[in-house]
Amino acid sequence: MISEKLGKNIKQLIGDSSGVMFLIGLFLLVIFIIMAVFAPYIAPYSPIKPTGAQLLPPQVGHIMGTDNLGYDVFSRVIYGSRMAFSIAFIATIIAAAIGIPTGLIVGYVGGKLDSVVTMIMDSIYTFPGLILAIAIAAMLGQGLINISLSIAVVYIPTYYRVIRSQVATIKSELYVEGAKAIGAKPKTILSKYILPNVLPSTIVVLSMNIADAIMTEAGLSFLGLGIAPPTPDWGYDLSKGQQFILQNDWWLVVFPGLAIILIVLGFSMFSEGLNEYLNPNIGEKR
Amino acid sequence: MINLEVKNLNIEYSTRNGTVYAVKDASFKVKTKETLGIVGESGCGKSTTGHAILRLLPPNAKIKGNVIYNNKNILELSNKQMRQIRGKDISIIFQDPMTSLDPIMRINEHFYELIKAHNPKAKEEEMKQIAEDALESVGVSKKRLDNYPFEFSGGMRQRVMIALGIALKPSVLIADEPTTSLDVVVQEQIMSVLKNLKQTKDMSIILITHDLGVVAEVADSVVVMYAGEVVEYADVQNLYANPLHPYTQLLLKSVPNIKIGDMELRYIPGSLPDLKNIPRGCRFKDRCPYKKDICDKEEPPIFNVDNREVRCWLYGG
Amino acid sequence: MLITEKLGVGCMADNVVVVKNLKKYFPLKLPWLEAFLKKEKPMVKAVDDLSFSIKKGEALGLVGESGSGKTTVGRSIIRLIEPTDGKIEIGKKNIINLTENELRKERRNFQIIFQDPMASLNPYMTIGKSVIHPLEIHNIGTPKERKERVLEIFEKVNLIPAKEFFNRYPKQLSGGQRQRVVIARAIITNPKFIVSDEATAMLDVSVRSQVLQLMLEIKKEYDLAFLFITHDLASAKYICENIAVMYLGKIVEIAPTKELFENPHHPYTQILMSSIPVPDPNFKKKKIIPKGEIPSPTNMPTGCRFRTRCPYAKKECEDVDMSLQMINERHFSACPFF
Repeated sequence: MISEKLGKNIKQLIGDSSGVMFLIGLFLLVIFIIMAVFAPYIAPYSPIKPTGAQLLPPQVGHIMGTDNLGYDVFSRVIYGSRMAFSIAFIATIIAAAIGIPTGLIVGYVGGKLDSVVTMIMDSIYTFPGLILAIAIAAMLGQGLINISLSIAVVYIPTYYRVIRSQVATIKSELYVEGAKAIGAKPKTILSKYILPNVLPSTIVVLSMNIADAIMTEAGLSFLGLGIAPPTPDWGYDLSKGQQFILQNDWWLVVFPGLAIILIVLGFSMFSEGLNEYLNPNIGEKR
Repeated sequence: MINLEVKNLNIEYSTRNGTVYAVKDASFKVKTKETLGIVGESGCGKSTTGHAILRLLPPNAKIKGNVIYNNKNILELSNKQMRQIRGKDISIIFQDPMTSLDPIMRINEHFYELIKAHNPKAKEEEMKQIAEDALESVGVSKKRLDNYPFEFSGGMRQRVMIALGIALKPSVLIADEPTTSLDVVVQEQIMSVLKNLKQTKDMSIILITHDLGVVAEVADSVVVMYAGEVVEYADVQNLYANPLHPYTQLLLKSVPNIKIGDMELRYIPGSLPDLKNIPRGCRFKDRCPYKKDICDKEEPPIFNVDNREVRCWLYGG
Repeated sequence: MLITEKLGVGCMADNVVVVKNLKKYFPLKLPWLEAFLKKEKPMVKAVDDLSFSIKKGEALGLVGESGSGKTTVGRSIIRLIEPTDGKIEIGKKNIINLTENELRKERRNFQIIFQDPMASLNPYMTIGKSVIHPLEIHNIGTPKERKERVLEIFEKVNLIPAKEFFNRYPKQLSGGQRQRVVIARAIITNPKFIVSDEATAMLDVSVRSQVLQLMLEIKKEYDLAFLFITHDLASAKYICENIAVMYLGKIVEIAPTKELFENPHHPYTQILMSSIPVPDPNFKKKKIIPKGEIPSPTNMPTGCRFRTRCPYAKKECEDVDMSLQMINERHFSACPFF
């Protein structure tokens, strides 16, 4: 996944201080969260009404300039964070809600069910994410829920795989055998003994997932399969802004693009740092 | 002649939850042809000490003190100099023969890798000879040089480990719980191998174990460790016949034995102190039946009694 | 009547556990061509035709090394692993015929204590919740009564102050304490039978005796039948009235404890006894060294399985069938020659 590679590269740059990375990531995320929550108070103008002359470069009154329809780019960037977050969260939650229970049950039962379901999940997983999302979005059409669903499908196998492989290992642990020995039913064993032990690993996956989902959503809307205009959306604005680069009107592309980069960076650093904290590596021997 | 001397070894680990004082002020020595047993229970620091001698501890460990080999403090050597010592002058073998050998390398390849690390120009016939001699001294047929580790049983694998440990004729062999994961019958065989090596090679063995029976059979002198400290240091006869430290006394009494007349179950009540939060005074005080006032206030130093060492206020102060 | 039912006084009605002809075979996975060509599927005969019985309030020691099959016996008897064949009766109930549901309900009557105290408890459950769980599963008592019972049991296993331990997590406890929690959970439903699978092997020596002592106490107080599986003959001595020695899936000797220690008959038992390291540097034991290594369980020697390592092996050993012969009133051995 793209966000994984980003995270690892940055780690090499900054050094082995996972604390620093975690904090920078957290800082970025907090900025964007504030942006999304308090958008109406931060944005100077409405993002869906023309508020200035068209294609104004960054200046006082429009610090990020205006686009070809006269919308304030800064306001659109701010409101765009809402779109990014909501779709990413909804998609991730749907993916987890389907992937985790499936992984739990299949991992525990094993056998032929395991072979069949894993084969299906692997096929979805190896399919290039964006293309799969495009295919499904094309079928389902536009709209917040539909887009979220299209993206969710791409990530269901991620949760399935993580949970299933852990369950397959944990189910032979002594405390699970102990639970069987005291007479617990499979349902109880799964919920009380196995689930709490596999969930922690999903926290990091969740975080990285959201970053990836934002990228995928930006990609979808870049290609015109996302939310319908004039709803502010970074990917869409990026797409629209391409044609104006040749005119040297760089601000239509740079600011939405920067927003995407920074939020994905934020999630990546946050999750890499979190991963280092939760699963510390002892380091190499001298 | 003294092959190795450890003086005032102190080891601390810095962890997320605080500093762990794993080993405090450990001192002992090993002579040629002598087997020193370091005995203690989990958390006493014996394994840590063994690894520290060869500087095999993780990076968050801070080691202070002296490990004197060949008139030098090897704790101060460079990494390169240390690598030359490992395997050739001082060797170590570990507890679990399953994971210590590389499963995709044949046994002869293990030897060649070891030999080449110290002598890159070694020729194949030389290496083969060294390997065959080593295997012979531990009772493994030299025809098995071509085998993979999985083709050996647990006991045979451990013998191969020992062979690798002595191949380059080190002066000191550190054996860290070599028989713990083996069955009692196989353990007996490995102990014979070690006893045999003691007599035929000019080597010192440092045997780290929790098994008091193994130590009695193989060791010449014994160091007893508790909660990171050396509490008693004596030759094997005197230690078992007349244990001085209360911990040693209680420990010896609590080992389940096969004497049919003795059906009493004895144990040491209480538990180890938290090595992150060492209380004042003697580390064994809360479990000791002979505790005095001074034990609460001050840590006992090592006292010399009859050519032996004991860390206990009963013998001085 | 089973040979082993002759052991011990009292009538057969006292038998809590009766095992007849227990077998557990594990099929070997072969590459498909070999599997196709071989007519008889190679099996690892981990447990090969075992029979024994255990009375109320008595412990039977099951001693052997790795590969002997003793751990498999423990798990097969309580159907944590499904036996290949045999009859098992616990508390007069036929365990083999029970359905999944019936078996689960019946589990309150027999429990197991595992070897590794670190891995036996769910790291995410407080030990109070772990120990209360069997009561919840089998609907015993009201929630208030259940908590009281847990606190009562904690006091019994010396986890005091009980209220404080209730809310602790396994990682806050030492190995010995965790094992006591496991014991607490095993006895809380008032079972009739407990399997102890190397319960003290991973404990420090100074703590081992403490846990053994606890097991002795609960055995007496609850009149429990015990199967004490171990590789350490010395530990078995303290708890067991009778001891059975296993080798490669078969019982090679069975006798009352004192008799076994004073008069070991089977060569394997003798070797086992002589191998136990004694903490006394002057102790000169009669060392009997077995030849070679333990054979692969897929390729067992014909006749007596121990003959390839036995220092007294003769040609006739190839035809021995390893059935237990009577040595004296309560002592049986599988070696007909010695």
